[in-house]
Amino acid sequence: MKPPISFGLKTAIIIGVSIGLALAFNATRPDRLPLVRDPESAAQAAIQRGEISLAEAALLFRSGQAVFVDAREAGEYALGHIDGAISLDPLFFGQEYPAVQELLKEAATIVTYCDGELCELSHELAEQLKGVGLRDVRVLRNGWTLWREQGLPTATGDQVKPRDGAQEALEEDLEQVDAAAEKAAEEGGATPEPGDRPQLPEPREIMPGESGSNGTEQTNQTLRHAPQEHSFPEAEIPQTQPLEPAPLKPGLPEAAPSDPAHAEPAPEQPAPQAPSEEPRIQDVNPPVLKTQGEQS
Amino acid sequence: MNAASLARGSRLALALVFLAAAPQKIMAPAEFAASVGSYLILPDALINFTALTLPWLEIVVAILLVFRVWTGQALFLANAMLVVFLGAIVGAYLRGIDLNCGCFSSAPTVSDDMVFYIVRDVIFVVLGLTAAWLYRRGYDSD
Repeated sequence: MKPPISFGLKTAIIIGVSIGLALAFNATRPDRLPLVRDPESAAQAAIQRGEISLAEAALLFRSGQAVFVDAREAGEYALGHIDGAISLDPLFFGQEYPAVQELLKEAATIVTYCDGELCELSHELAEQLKGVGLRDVRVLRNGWTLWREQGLPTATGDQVKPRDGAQEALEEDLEQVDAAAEKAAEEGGATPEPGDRPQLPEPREIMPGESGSNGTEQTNQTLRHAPQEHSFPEAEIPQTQPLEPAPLKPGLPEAAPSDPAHAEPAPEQPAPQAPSEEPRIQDVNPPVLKTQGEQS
Repeated sequence: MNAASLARGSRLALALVFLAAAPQKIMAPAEFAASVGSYLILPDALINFTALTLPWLEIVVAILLVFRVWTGQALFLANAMLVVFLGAIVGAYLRGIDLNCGCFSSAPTVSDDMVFYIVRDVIFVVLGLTAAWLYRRGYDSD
């Protein structure tokens, strides 16, 4: 019974044969997996999977042409999400999709995200969205973390929540945010009711072309509003706000550059109004918000 | 006789487990690699290699078990893999990693999936150890 080959050697042989088969089989595959994941191929694979970079996502956000969709649980969404994002849990896609269907169908681009490098929810959601006929669906991997770290505009609250003070919300208490939102709503006619939820999506659809000019304007707005935003925490609300939804998009001082973009997708919406006027742009948002609120 | 049939049955069941699990991993290596990565155990450099070779090792071991070739080594490797799998998933569970999203879930509740996977893996380990024990006892010989 004494084996001619030792136990360990046989074991090693089994392992070796397995590795050989694995490598041989992998080599014959058209979509072979690199043995070691190198950044380049990883990046390529990412692109193949429809992923976009944070910079691209921020651009889309700024342009107002994209609707961001949060694939995480509704509870996590409520704790914080990309400003204007819609909550759509891929696990409850069937139930939740109809409510946001219109919004998504109108969007030029849809960006799904969740949280974590390895989070697959955003990909699952993207597949499901493609499955219902939506074409331009991208994935921002590890979106929530990246977005937050970059200081881009965020918001808190449930789907139906008001959109204002998104950025501040992150850093400040939810209460403060709510308070600011309410104030903004009260003072600024443009601001939607607290219950309404601001949505970027609609505005974006409206005017891709405008985005350029809007962007500039937005930037200006941001700068102007910036001070206002700061005041928010203090409960001071700029009187100008009524005209300008600025409060909605208060950009963090640091984020200023990017803020304009996220700050408000509003720019796109301006469509109805004169594209060149920044203030109006924001005004446009309110309708959007309302629409969203209705949907949700 | 009972022990002999139990030995044969457990060995074949073990082989079946691996034969059932491996093909889909082999056919979708990228997905499996993502899955391996979601455990946050292996360094990036080893994830793809592991994802590529592990299912083939399962296949080879299963075949050896079915045909009773180098059965002792195959049982050893089978149990080693099962124990590693169980350890990985329990480790993920303890660290609060939600394997469904590959992220550290902020929710305190653990999905039922995790419990299911752990229970399933425990059963597999028991099966594997039973087969190995019976084999060592000499029940699995003709």
